[in-house]
Amino acid sequence: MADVAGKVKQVIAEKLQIDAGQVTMEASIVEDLGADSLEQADILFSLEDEFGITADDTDEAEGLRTVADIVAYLEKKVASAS
Amino acid sequence: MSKRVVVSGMGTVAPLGPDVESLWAALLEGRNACSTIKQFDPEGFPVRIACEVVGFDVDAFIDRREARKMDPCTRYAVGASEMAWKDSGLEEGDFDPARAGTIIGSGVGGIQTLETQHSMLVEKGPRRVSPFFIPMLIADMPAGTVSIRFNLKGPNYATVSACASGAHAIGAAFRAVRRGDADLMVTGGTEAAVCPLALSGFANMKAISSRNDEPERASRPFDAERDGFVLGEGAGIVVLEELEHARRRGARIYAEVVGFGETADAYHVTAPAPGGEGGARAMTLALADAGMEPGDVQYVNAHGTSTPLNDKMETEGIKRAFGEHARRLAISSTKSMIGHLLGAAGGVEFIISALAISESRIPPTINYESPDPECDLDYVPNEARETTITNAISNSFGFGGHNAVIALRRFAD
Repeated sequence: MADVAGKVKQVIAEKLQIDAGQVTMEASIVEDLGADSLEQADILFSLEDEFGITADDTDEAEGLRTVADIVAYLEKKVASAS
Repeated sequence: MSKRVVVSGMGTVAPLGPDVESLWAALLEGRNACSTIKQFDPEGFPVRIACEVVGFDVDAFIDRREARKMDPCTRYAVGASEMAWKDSGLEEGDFDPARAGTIIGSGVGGIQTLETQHSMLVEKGPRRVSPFFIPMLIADMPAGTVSIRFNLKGPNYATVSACASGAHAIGAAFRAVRRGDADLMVTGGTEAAVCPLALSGFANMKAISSRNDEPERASRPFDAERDGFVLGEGAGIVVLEELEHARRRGARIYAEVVGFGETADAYHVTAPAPGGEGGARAMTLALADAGMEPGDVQYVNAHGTSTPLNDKMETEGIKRAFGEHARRLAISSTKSMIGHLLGAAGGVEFIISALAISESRIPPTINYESPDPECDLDYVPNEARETTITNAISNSFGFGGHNAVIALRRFAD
Protein backbone atom coordinates (compact mmCIF):
# COMPACT_ATOMS: atom_id res chain seq x y z
CA MET A 1 0.00 0.00 0.00
CA ALA A 2 1.20 3.48 -0.79
CA ASP A 3 3.02 5.42 1.91
CA VAL A 4 0.04 7.48 2.99
CA ALA A 5 1.77 9.26 5.86
CA GLY A 6 4.71 10.31 3.71
CA LYS A 7 2.46 11.69 0.99
CA VAL A 8 0.26 13.55 3.49
CA LYS A 9 3.29 15.27 5.01
CA GLN A 10 4.64 16.17 1.59
CA VAL A 11 1.37 17.72 0.39
CA ILE A 12 0.83 19.69 3.60
CA ALA A 13 4.39 21.00 3.53
CA GLU A 14 3.99 22.08 -0.08
CA LYS A 15 0.60 23.74 0.34
CA LEU A 16 1.61 25.65 3.48
CA GLN A 17 5.15 26.31 2.21
CA ILE A 18 6.68 25.02 5.44
CA ASP A 19 9.56 22.70 6.18
CA ALA A 20 8.54 19.01 5.91
CA GLY A 21 10.18 18.45 9.30
CA GLN A 22 7.52 20.60 10.97
CA VAL A 23 4.74 18.31 9.75
CA THR A 24 4.75 15.79 12.59
CA MET A 25 1.96 13.26 13.15
CA GLU A 26 0.81 15.05 16.31
CA ALA A 27 0.73 18.50 14.67
CA SER A 28 -2.68 20.13 14.45
CA ILE A 29 -3.29 21.53 10.97
CA VAL A 30 -4.89 24.72 12.23
CA GLU A 31 -3.35 25.41 15.64
CA ASP A 32 0.20 24.17 15.05
CA LEU A 33 0.69 24.57 11.30
CA GLY A 34 -1.44 27.69 10.90
CA ALA A 35 -3.72 26.62 8.04
CA ASP A 36 -6.93 28.55 7.55
CA SER A 37 -10.22 26.87 6.58
CA LEU A 38 -9.66 27.29 2.84
CA GLU A 39 -6.17 25.83 3.07
CA GLN A 40 -7.54 22.87 5.01
CA ALA A 41 -10.09 22.13 2.30
CA ASP A 42 -7.43 22.59 -0.37
CA ILE A 43 -5.09 20.12 1.37
CA LEU A 44 -7.82 17.52 1.69
CA PHE A 45 -8.93 17.87 -1.94
CA SER A 46 -5.35 17.47 -3.17
CA LEU A 47 -4.86 14.37 -1.05
CA GLU A 48 -8.10 12.85 -2.30
CA ASP A 49 -6.82 13.54 -5.82
CA GLU A 50 -3.48 11.91 -5.06
CA PHE A 51 -5.11 8.72 -3.78
CA GLY A 52 -7.96 8.69 -6.29
CA ILE A 53 -10.73 8.78 -3.73
CA THR A 54 -13.67 11.05 -3.07
CA ALA A 55 -15.04 12.09 0.30
CA ASP A 56 -18.82 12.13 0.19
CA ASP A 57 -19.13 12.37 3.96
CA THR A 58 -18.07 15.94 4.63
CA ASP A 59 -18.95 15.57 8.32
CA GLU A 60 -16.13 13.11 8.81
CA ALA A 61 -13.68 15.28 6.87
CA GLU A 62 -14.53 18.30 9.00
CA GLY A 63 -13.55 16.46 12.21
CA LEU A 64 -9.93 15.95 11.11
CA ARG A 65 -7.60 17.92 13.39
CA THR A 66 -4.10 16.47 13.28
CA VAL A 67 -1.83 15.04 10.60
CA ALA A 68 -2.41 11.62 12.20
CA ASP A 69 -6.20 12.10 11.85
CA ILE A 70 -5.80 12.80 8.14
CA VAL A 71 -3.51 9.81 7.61
CA ALA A 72 -5.97 7.48 9.38
CA TYR A 73 -8.90 8.86 7.38
CA LEU A 74 -7.12 8.36 4.07
CA GLU A 75 -5.80 4.89 4.94
CA LYS A 76 -9.36 3.80 5.72
CA LYS A 77 -10.64 5.24 2.44
CA VAL A 78 -7.87 3.70 0.38
CA ALA A 79 -8.46 0.30 2.02
CA SER A 80 -12.21 0.31 1.38
CA ALA A 81 -11.71 1.47 -2.21
CA SER A 82 -9.37 -1.41 -3.11
CA MET B 1 -13.75 73.03 3.19
CA SER B 2 -11.89 71.09 0.48
CA LYS B 3 -8.55 69.54 1.22
CA ARG B 4 -5.67 69.61 -1.23
CA VAL B 5 -4.58 66.22 -2.56
CA VAL B 6 -1.02 65.32 -3.58
CA VAL B 7 0.80 62.30 -4.99
CA SER B 8 3.36 61.08 -2.45
CA GLY B 9 4.28 57.64 -3.77
CA MET B 10 4.11 55.60 -6.95
CA GLY B 11 4.74 52.02 -8.06
CA THR B 12 4.35 50.10 -11.29
CA VAL B 13 4.50 46.51 -12.52
CA ALA B 14 4.53 47.01 -16.26
CA PRO B 15 5.95 46.16 -19.65
CA LEU B 16 9.35 47.79 -20.31
CA GLY B 17 10.64 47.79 -16.72
CA PRO B 18 10.24 46.29 -13.23
CA ASP B 19 9.80 49.62 -11.45
CA VAL B 20 8.80 53.24 -12.05
CA GLU B 21 12.34 54.43 -12.62
CA SER B 22 13.15 51.91 -15.35
CA LEU B 23 9.71 52.27 -16.96
CA TRP B 24 10.06 56.07 -17.10
CA ALA B 25 13.58 55.89 -18.55
CA ALA B 26 12.38 53.44 -21.23
CA LEU B 27 9.40 55.63 -22.12
CA LEU B 28 11.64 58.66 -22.61
CA GLU B 29 13.85 56.61 -24.93
CA GLY B 30 10.80 55.70 -26.99
CA ARG B 31 11.26 51.96 -26.42
CA ASN B 32 8.59 49.51 -27.53
CA ALA B 33 7.33 46.63 -25.36
CA CYS B 34 5.25 44.72 -27.91
CA SER B 35 6.45 41.28 -28.98
CA THR B 36 5.28 37.72 -29.58
CA ILE B 37 3.55 36.40 -26.47
CA LYS B 38 5.80 34.40 -24.13
CA GLN B 39 3.65 33.44 -21.14
CA PHE B 40 1.73 30.87 -23.21
CA ASP B 41 2.10 29.46 -26.71
CA PRO B 42 0.13 31.72 -29.09
CA GLU B 43 0.40 29.30 -32.01
CA GLY B 44 -2.92 29.11 -33.85
CA PHE B 45 -4.31 32.34 -32.39
CA PRO B 46 -5.27 35.07 -34.91
CA VAL B 47 -3.31 37.59 -32.82
CA ARG B 48 -0.04 36.43 -31.27
CA ILE B 49 1.43 39.66 -29.86
CA ALA B 50 1.13 41.59 -26.60
CA CYS B 51 3.03 43.86 -24.20
CA GLU B 52 3.91 41.62 -21.29
CA VAL B 53 5.15 42.52 -17.81
CA VAL B 54 8.95 42.23 -17.48
CA GLY B 55 11.18 41.64 -14.52
CA PHE B 56 8.45 41.24 -11.91
CA ASP B 57 9.97 39.17 -9.11
CA VAL B 58 6.95 37.93 -7.15
CA ASP B 59 9.16 36.46 -4.42
CA ALA B 60 10.57 39.88 -3.65
CA PHE B 61 7.14 41.11 -2.58
CA ILE B 62 4.93 38.16 -1.62
CA ASP B 63 5.75 34.94 0.23
CA ARG B 64 5.00 31.80 -1.77
CA ARG B 65 2.19 30.57 0.42
CA GLU B 66 0.25 33.81 -0.10
CA ALA B 67 1.20 34.18 -3.76
CA ARG B 68 -0.29 30.82 -4.73
CA LYS B 69 -3.66 32.02 -3.42
CA MET B 70 -3.57 35.15 -5.58
CA ASP B 71 -4.49 35.61 -9.21
CA PRO B 72 -1.78 37.43 -11.21
CA CYS B 73 -3.90 40.60 -11.17
CA THR B 74 -3.68 40.64 -7.38
CA ARG B 75 0.06 39.86 -7.42
CA TYR B 76 0.66 42.78 -9.77
CA ALA B 77 -1.40 45.08 -7.55
CA VAL B 78 0.44 43.97 -4.42
CA GLY B 79 3.85 44.40 -6.07
CA ALA B 80 3.03 47.88 -7.35
CA SER B 81 1.47 48.85 -4.00
CA GLU B 82 4.53 47.69 -2.08
CA MET B 83 6.72 49.82 -4.34
CA ALA B 84 4.40 52.82 -4.00
CA TRP B 85 4.26 52.47 -0.23
CA LYS B 86 8.02 52.21 0.06
CA ASP B 87 8.37 55.21 -2.25
CA SER B 88 6.05 57.23 -0.01
CA GLY B 89 8.17 56.54 3.07
CA LEU B 90 5.03 55.92 5.11
CA GLU B 91 5.47 53.91 8.28
CA GLU B 92 3.16 52.54 10.93
CA GLY B 93 2.33 55.42 13.24
CA ASP B 94 2.45 58.01 10.45
CA PHE B 95 -1.26 57.64 9.79
CA ASP B 96 -4.60 56.73 11.34
CA PRO B 97 -5.58 53.38 9.77
CA ALA B 98 -9.29 54.25 9.92
CA ARG B 99 -8.61 57.26 7.70
CA ALA B 100 -6.51 55.41 5.11
CA GLY B 101 -8.19 53.48 2.29
CA THR B 102 -7.67 51.49 -0.90
CA ILE B 103 -9.54 51.76 -4.19
CA ILE B 104 -8.07 49.67 -7.01
CA GLY B 105 -9.79 49.22 -10.35
CA SER B 106 -9.71 46.19 -12.62
CA GLY B 107 -11.60 45.45 -15.82
CA VAL B 108 -12.05 41.72 -15.30
CA GLY B 109 -10.27 40.72 -12.10
CA GLY B 110 -9.01 37.13 -11.90
CA ILE B 111 -9.63 35.94 -15.45
CA GLN B 112 -6.58 33.65 -15.50
CA THR B 113 -7.90 31.89 -12.41
CA LEU B 114 -11.28 31.64 -14.12
CA GLU B 115 -9.72 29.93 -17.14
CA THR B 116 -7.78 27.44 -15.02
CA GLN B 117 -10.63 26.59 -12.67
CA HIS B 118 -13.17 26.26 -15.46
CA SER B 119 -10.93 23.67 -17.06
CA MET B 120 -10.72 21.92 -13.69
CA LEU B 121 -14.52 21.86 -13.48
CA VAL B 122 -14.95 20.44 -16.96
CA GLU B 123 -12.11 17.93 -16.76
CA LYS B 124 -12.34 16.76 -13.16
CA GLY B 125 -15.76 17.81 -11.89
CA PRO B 126 -17.20 20.23 -9.34
CA ARG B 127 -15.32 18.82 -6.34
CA ARG B 128 -11.99 19.76 -7.89
CA VAL B 129 -12.70 23.47 -8.22
CA SER B 130 -10.23 25.16 -5.90
CA PRO B 131 -11.49 26.39 -2.51
CA PHE B 132 -9.59 29.56 -3.38
CA PHE B 133 -11.40 30.07 -6.68
CA ILE B 134 -13.83 32.73 -5.49
CA PRO B 135 -11.34 34.90 -3.57
CA MET B 136 -8.92 34.65 -6.48
CA LEU B 137 -11.54 35.53 -9.08
CA ILE B 138 -13.31 38.58 -7.73
CA ALA B 139 -12.14 41.98 -8.94
CA ASP B 140 -12.17 43.59 -5.50
CA MET B 141 -9.52 41.26 -4.12
CA PRO B 142 -6.56 43.40 -5.21
CA ALA B 143 -7.99 46.23 -3.09
CA GLY B 144 -8.83 43.89 -0.22
CA THR B 145 -5.40 42.24 -0.25
CA VAL B 146 -3.54 45.55 -0.32
CA SER B 147 -5.56 46.86 2.63
CA ILE B 148 -4.51 43.81 4.67
CA ARG B 149 -0.84 44.37 3.93
CA PHE B 150 -0.77 47.98 5.09
CA ASN B 151 -3.59 47.95 7.64
CA LEU B 152 -5.77 50.37 5.67
CA LYS B 153 -9.18 50.46 7.32
CA GLY B 154 -10.81 53.32 5.43
CA PRO B 155 -12.83 53.29 2.18
CA ASN B 156 -12.12 50.09 0.25
CA TYR B 157 -13.47 48.70 -3.04
CA ALA B 158 -12.80 48.21 -6.74
CA THR B 159 -14.04 50.39 -9.56
CA VAL B 160 -15.01 48.66 -12.80
CA SER B 161 -15.33 50.61 -16.04
CA ALA B 162 -13.32 48.54 -18.49
CA CYS B 163 -10.40 50.59 -19.80
CA ALA B 164 -11.26 53.46 -17.44
CA SER B 165 -11.24 51.35 -14.25
CA GLY B 166 -7.88 52.62 -13.01
CA ALA B 167 -8.80 56.26 -13.67
CA HIS B 168 -12.14 55.90 -11.89
CA ALA B 169 -10.34 54.42 -8.89
CA ILE B 170 -7.98 57.39 -8.70
CA GLY B 171 -10.88 59.81 -9.22
CA ALA B 172 -12.87 58.23 -6.39
CA ALA B 173 -9.83 58.18 -4.10
CA PHE B 174 -9.06 61.83 -4.93
CA ARG B 175 -12.59 62.83 -3.96
CA ALA B 176 -12.43 60.86 -0.71
CA VAL B 177 -9.31 62.76 0.37
CA ARG B 178 -10.58 66.10 -0.89
CA ARG B 179 -13.83 65.64 1.03
CA GLY B 180 -11.92 64.80 4.19
CA ASP B 181 -13.14 61.18 4.39
CA ALA B 182 -9.57 59.91 4.27
CA ASP B 183 -6.07 61.29 4.81
CA LEU B 184 -4.48 58.86 2.41
CA MET B 185 -5.55 56.45 -0.28
CA VAL B 186 -3.59 53.70 -2.02
CA THR B 187 -5.16 53.67 -5.47
CA GLY B 188 -4.83 52.82 -9.16
CA GLY B 189 -5.54 49.88 -11.42
CA THR B 190 -4.44 46.35 -12.21
CA GLU B 191 -5.02 43.87 -15.02
CA ALA B 192 -3.65 40.44 -15.97
CA ALA B 193 -5.65 39.47 -19.03
CA VAL B 194 -2.94 38.34 -21.44
CA CYS B 195 -4.43 34.86 -21.55
CA PRO B 196 -5.99 32.61 -24.21
CA LEU B 197 -9.61 33.50 -23.49
CA ALA B 198 -9.18 37.26 -23.46
CA LEU B 199 -6.79 37.25 -26.41
CA SER B 200 -9.28 35.25 -28.47
CA GLY B 201 -12.18 37.48 -27.49
CA PHE B 202 -10.40 40.71 -28.33
CA ALA B 203 -9.08 39.23 -31.59
CA ASN B 204 -12.50 38.06 -32.73
CA MET B 205 -14.07 41.44 -32.12
CA LYS B 206 -11.29 42.94 -34.25
CA ALA B 207 -10.22 45.32 -31.51
CA ILE B 208 -6.54 44.37 -31.45
CA SER B 209 -3.80 44.75 -34.03
CA SER B 210 -2.98 41.62 -36.03
CA ARG B 211 0.46 42.88 -37.04
CA ASN B 212 1.97 39.59 -35.79
CA ASP B 213 5.07 39.75 -37.98
CA GLU B 214 6.04 43.28 -36.95
CA PRO B 215 4.99 43.58 -33.31
CA GLU B 216 7.25 46.58 -32.70
CA ARG B 217 5.17 48.58 -35.19
CA ALA B 218 1.74 47.34 -34.13
CA SER B 219 0.77 49.98 -31.57
CA ARG B 220 0.64 53.23 -33.55
CA PRO B 221 -1.88 55.68 -32.02
CA PHE B 222 -3.11 58.47 -34.29
CA ASP B 223 -1.14 57.04 -37.24
CA ALA B 224 -2.98 56.48 -40.53
CA GLU B 225 -1.98 52.77 -40.59
CA ARG B 226 -3.30 51.90 -37.11
CA ASP B 227 -5.33 48.69 -36.92
CA GLY B 228 -6.22 48.16 -33.28
CA PHE B 229 -4.65 48.19 -29.86
CA VAL B 230 -2.05 45.86 -28.39
CA LEU B 231 -3.04 43.96 -25.26
CA GLY B 232 -0.93 44.85 -22.22
CA GLU B 233 -0.88 43.89 -18.53
CA GLY B 234 0.38 45.18 -15.19
CA ALA B 235 -0.51 47.55 -12.35
CA GLY B 236 -0.03 51.23 -11.58
CA ILE B 237 -0.58 52.29 -7.96
CA VAL B 238 -0.11 55.65 -6.25
CA VAL B 239 -0.40 57.03 -2.76
CA LEU B 240 -2.70 60.06 -2.71
CA GLU B 241 -2.37 62.08 0.45
CA GLU B 242 -3.93 65.15 2.04
CA LEU B 243 -1.40 67.97 1.70
CA GLU B 244 -0.91 68.87 5.39
CA HIS B 245 -0.66 65.20 6.29
CA ALA B 246 2.08 64.82 3.68
CA ARG B 247 3.90 67.98 4.76
CA ARG B 248 3.90 67.05 8.46
CA ARG B 249 5.90 63.94 7.72
CA GLY B 250 8.16 65.61 5.16
CA ALA B 251 6.85 63.50 2.26
CA ARG B 252 8.16 63.99 -1.24
CA ILE B 253 5.42 65.43 -3.46
CA TYR B 254 5.33 64.53 -7.17
CA ALA B 255 2.31 66.58 -8.24
CA GLU B 256 -1.08 67.75 -7.07
CA VAL B 257 -4.37 66.20 -8.17
CA VAL B 258 -6.78 69.03 -8.83
CA GLY B 259 -9.78 67.75 -10.78
CA PHE B 260 -11.77 64.77 -11.96
CA GLY B 261 -14.45 64.51 -14.62
CA GLU B 262 -16.59 61.47 -15.39
CA THR B 263 -19.31 60.94 -18.02
CA ALA B 264 -20.99 58.27 -20.12
CA ASP B 265 -21.39 58.23 -23.89
CA ALA B 266 -24.77 56.45 -23.73
CA TYR B 267 -24.14 55.54 -27.34
CA HIS B 268 -22.69 52.06 -28.12
CA VAL B 269 -21.10 49.17 -26.25
CA THR B 270 -17.75 49.57 -27.95
CA ALA B 271 -17.75 52.51 -30.38
CA PRO B 272 -17.23 56.00 -28.94
CA ALA B 273 -19.90 58.66 -29.39
CA PRO B 274 -19.63 60.76 -32.57
CA GLY B 275 -17.50 63.85 -32.24
CA GLY B 276 -15.97 62.32 -29.12
CA GLU B 277 -18.64 64.25 -27.24
CA GLY B 278 -18.64 61.98 -24.16
CA GLY B 279 -14.89 62.30 -23.71
CA ALA B 280 -15.10 66.04 -24.40
CA ARG B 281 -17.63 66.54 -21.61
CA ALA B 282 -15.42 64.57 -19.19
CA MET B 283 -12.43 66.75 -20.09
CA THR B 284 -14.50 69.91 -19.65
CA LEU B 285 -15.77 68.71 -16.27
CA ALA B 286 -12.25 67.84 -15.11
CA LEU B 287 -10.99 71.29 -16.05
CA ALA B 288 -13.93 73.01 -14.34
CA ASP B 289 -13.40 70.88 -11.24
CA ALA B 290 -9.76 71.96 -11.23
CA GLY B 291 -10.57 75.61 -11.78
CA MET B 292 -8.57 75.47 -15.02
CA GLU B 293 -9.22 77.18 -18.34
CA PRO B 294 -8.51 75.11 -21.47
CA GLY B 295 -5.65 77.51 -22.21
CA ASP B 296 -3.96 76.61 -18.91
CA VAL B 297 -3.20 73.03 -19.98
CA GLN B 298 0.08 72.06 -21.66
CA TYR B 299 -0.07 68.24 -21.79
CA VAL B 300 -2.71 65.59 -22.47
CA ASN B 301 -1.81 61.96 -21.81
CA ALA B 302 -4.31 60.57 -24.32
CA HIS B 303 -6.30 57.37 -24.10
CA GLY B 304 -4.83 56.88 -27.58
CA THR B 305 -5.43 53.14 -28.01
CA SER B 306 -4.38 52.90 -31.69
CA THR B 307 -7.86 51.87 -32.83
CA PRO B 308 -9.27 53.62 -35.90
CA LEU B 309 -12.26 54.90 -33.95
CA ASN B 310 -10.86 55.96 -30.57
CA ASP B 311 -8.01 58.03 -31.92
CA LYS B 312 -10.26 59.89 -34.33
CA MET B 313 -13.00 60.50 -31.74
CA GLU B 314 -10.56 61.46 -29.04
CA THR B 315 -9.00 64.02 -31.40
CA GLU B 316 -12.43 65.47 -32.12
CA GLY B 317 -13.25 65.45 -28.42
CA ILE B 318 -10.06 67.30 -27.54
CA LYS B 319 -10.90 69.95 -30.13
CA ARG B 320 -14.41 70.23 -28.73
CA ALA B 321 -13.16 70.64 -25.16
CA PHE B 322 -10.17 72.90 -25.85
CA GLY B 323 -11.26 74.88 -28.93
CA GLU B 324 -8.40 76.72 -30.59
CA HIS B 325 -6.02 75.79 -27.75
CA ALA B 326 -6.19 72.15 -28.94
CA ARG B 327 -3.57 73.04 -31.57
CA ARG B 328 -1.15 74.25 -28.88
CA LEU B 329 -1.47 71.15 -26.68
CA ALA B 330 1.21 68.48 -26.51
CA ILE B 331 -0.68 65.18 -26.67
CA SER B 332 0.97 61.80 -26.38
CA SER B 333 -0.17 58.21 -26.13
CA THR B 334 2.14 56.03 -24.07
CA LYS B 335 0.06 53.05 -25.24
CA SER B 336 2.28 53.34 -28.31
CA MET B 337 5.06 51.88 -26.15
CA ILE B 338 3.49 49.73 -23.43
CA GLY B 339 0.21 48.80 -25.10
CA HIS B 340 -3.24 48.95 -23.53
CA LEU B 341 -3.16 47.86 -19.89
CA LEU B 342 -6.99 47.86 -19.76
CA GLY B 343 -8.03 48.35 -16.13
CA ALA B 344 -4.46 49.22 -15.17
CA ALA B 345 -4.04 51.83 -17.94
CA GLY B 346 -5.61 54.65 -15.93
CA GLY B 347 -3.23 53.94 -13.03
CA VAL B 348 0.00 53.66 -15.00
CA GLU B 349 -0.87 56.62 -17.24
CA PHE B 350 -1.67 58.80 -14.21
CA ILE B 351 1.82 58.02 -12.92
CA ILE B 352 3.30 58.92 -16.30
CA SER B 353 1.38 62.22 -16.27
CA ALA B 354 2.61 63.04 -12.75
CA LEU B 355 6.19 62.31 -13.79
CA ALA B 356 5.83 64.42 -16.93
CA ILE B 357 4.95 67.33 -14.65
CA SER B 358 7.61 66.73 -12.02
CA GLU B 359 10.37 65.97 -14.54
CA SER B 360 9.35 68.45 -17.27
CA ARG B 361 9.62 65.74 -19.92
CA ILE B 362 6.90 64.40 -22.21
CA PRO B 363 7.17 60.79 -23.42
CA PRO B 364 6.47 60.46 -27.16
CA THR B 365 3.89 58.75 -29.29
CA ILE B 366 6.10 56.29 -31.16
CA ASN B 367 5.43 54.57 -34.51
CA TYR B 368 4.07 57.86 -35.80
CA GLU B 369 4.96 57.54 -39.48
CA SER B 370 2.02 58.44 -41.68
CA PRO B 371 -0.16 61.34 -40.47
CA ASP B 372 -3.89 60.85 -40.66
CA PRO B 373 -5.76 63.96 -41.85
CA GLU B 374 -8.46 63.21 -39.29
CA CYS B 375 -5.87 63.24 -36.47
CA ASP B 376 -4.06 66.49 -37.03
CA LEU B 377 -2.91 67.66 -33.61
CA ASP B 378 0.55 67.62 -32.01
CA TYR B 379 1.10 64.06 -30.73
CA VAL B 380 4.76 64.53 -29.72
CA PRO B 381 5.83 62.16 -32.48
CA ASN B 382 8.59 59.63 -31.90
CA GLU B 383 10.85 61.66 -29.62
CA ALA B 384 10.44 62.77 -26.02
CA ARG B 385 10.22 66.48 -25.44
CA GLU B 386 11.63 68.66 -22.69
CA THR B 387 9.20 71.34 -21.63
CA THR B 388 7.77 72.80 -18.45
CA ILE B 389 4.32 71.48 -17.68
CA THR B 390 2.15 73.21 -15.14
CA ASN B 391 -1.17 71.54 -15.92
CA ALA B 392 -1.92 68.17 -17.48
CA ILE B 393 -4.85 65.82 -17.96
CA SER B 394 -4.97 62.03 -18.29
CA ASN B 395 -7.77 60.53 -20.41
CA SER B 396 -9.26 57.07 -20.07
CA PHE B 397 -12.27 55.85 -22.04
CA GLY B 398 -13.79 52.38 -21.62
CA PHE B 399 -15.92 49.93 -23.64
CA GLY B 400 -19.44 50.68 -22.54
CA GLY B 401 -18.93 54.41 -23.01
CA HIS B 402 -17.23 55.24 -19.70
CA ASN B 403 -15.10 58.40 -19.73
CA ALA B 404 -12.80 59.40 -16.87
CA VAL B 405 -10.41 62.35 -16.96
CA ILE B 406 -8.02 63.39 -14.18
CA ALA B 407 -6.44 66.85 -13.98
CA LEU B 408 -3.02 67.27 -12.39
CA ARG B 409 -0.96 70.34 -11.57
CA ARG B 410 2.66 71.04 -10.76
CA PHE B 411 2.84 71.35 -6.97
CA ALA B 412 3.36 74.82 -5.55
CA ASP B 413 2.73 75.95 -2.02
